[in-house]
Formats: sequence, structure tokens, C-alpha cells
Amino acid sequence: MNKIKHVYVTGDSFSFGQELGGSDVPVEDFYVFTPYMRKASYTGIIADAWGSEGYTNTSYNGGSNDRIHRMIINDIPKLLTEYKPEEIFVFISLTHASRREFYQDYSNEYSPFLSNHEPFKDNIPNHTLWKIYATYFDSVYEHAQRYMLQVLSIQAFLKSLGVGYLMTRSMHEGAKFDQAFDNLPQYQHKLIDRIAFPKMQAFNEYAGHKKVPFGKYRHPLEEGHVAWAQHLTAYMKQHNLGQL
Amino acid sequence: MKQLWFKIKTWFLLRKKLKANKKSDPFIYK
Repeated sequence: MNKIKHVYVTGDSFSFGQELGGSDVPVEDFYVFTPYMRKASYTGIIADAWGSEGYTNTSYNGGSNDRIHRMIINDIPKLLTEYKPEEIFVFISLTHASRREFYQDYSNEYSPFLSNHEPFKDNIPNHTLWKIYATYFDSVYEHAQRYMLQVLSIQAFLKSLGVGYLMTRSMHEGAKFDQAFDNLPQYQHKLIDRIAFPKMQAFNEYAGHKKVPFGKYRHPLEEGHVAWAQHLTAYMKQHNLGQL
Repeated sequence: MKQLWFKIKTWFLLRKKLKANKKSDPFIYK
């Protein structure tokens, strides 16, 4: 039996477990991954079922696939200095393809960009960039291109290192994105490992169909995370992924 | 004058785009 010693998670607010334990937390706690969230979020539930000694969750509310890609490239090589490839399992919760991130040189931090949600006006450089980006550079065609780029690159990177992973989606995309993505060449689509990145419903779709409670910011709550953990565990068992 | 026209054009275009984006907001699962 293979034992997964370290579970690594990255994604957005859905894999972070935003709204677990309460929808409105103090501003200073918004990005804090609490012990309660560690136990109640779906990857935490799975890691506990596996009895993995290590667990890392670098999911970020409002995080983009750009950021996910960065987390994987930066963190997995570091993990490999402590663990063998077969001892690590990676859960990736891909988010809406429109999201981006930009590095703010003036404050030395990455700033998440949600192109359909206006950022605060008080950060003038960030808001100005967002305004021009959202108006002139945001395109569903670009989203689809970048999504394919990131899926294939993350896949190739993890496979080259011998690290197992499961890629799922937090949220459904719109019909326009689906069409743009489907229209990408078949010779590219064929390269996607559809066992590790299955064509299943997104977390929010699955939770919606299960009719579990959602928080006011539209994240599945505790019941939804339990259901998603069960769903993914059954899938992984069926396809020999993760801990057997 | 060109700068002002650009600002006005941007304002209209952005509003139009945000309205269209709202229709396909991923946060709202129907």
C-alpha cells in the first residue's frame, strides 16, 4: 500500500475553505487558514482519512490559475528536498480562467485581479491597471489559451517529477469560455491527462446539485466539503490515484 | 483632447464589458 506522507493543496477560496466556520471573519483573519478549516475543508478531510503526516494548503481567496502555477513551480521542488515523489500528492483546484495576478513593485506583493470585480480605488496603480486591463486586454479567447497553457504545463511539470496529483475545478465557467476552450486544437486537447484532470462537474456545480447549503459569498459550507471529499475519494479509488 | 476622449471611451467600454461579464459570473451557479 502506498502511503502519502504529504498532501499539498493549492487553489482559490473553494479549496481554502472560505466561509467554513463563518462567512464574515475579521479583515485580519481573511487569509488565515485556521485549524477548523484544516479539519473541515475537503482536502483536510481526505488528508485525515489517509493519515498523512504533512499537509500544506497554499490556496488563496481570489487566487488565479496564474498563482496556482506559481505555487506549484515554487513549492513542489522544495517539498522534494524532504519527501520522495511517491510520498507527495497534490490537489489542485483550478479557478475561473479570467483571474490573473500582477506583482506590485511598489509594495512587493502580488495583487490578484478579478476582471469582473472592480478592486478598491484607493490603490491607484492597481485600480488603473485593472481598468485598462479589463477594458482592452481581457478576452475569453485569452482565458482559454492561458488555461490550456497552464493545464499542460502543470501536468508536464508534475509528471516529470513523478508527483501524483488530481486537478479539479472550483467553479463552472461560462458558455463563451467553454466554447473558446473546446475550439482549441484537438491535438492539444488529446495531451491532457483526463484521469488526473477529469471532465467532472466543478465543486460549486456538484454542491449545487447535491443541494447542500452555501454561504452568503457562494461557497459550499461544511456539508458541501464532506460531499466533495467523498466524491473525490470515490473517484481516486476507482482510478488508482492518491493513497491506495 | 485625445486623453479625455480615451478616458470617456474607456468608461463606456468598461461598463459594457462588466455588464456582459455579470451575465456569466462564475460565482452564481444556476
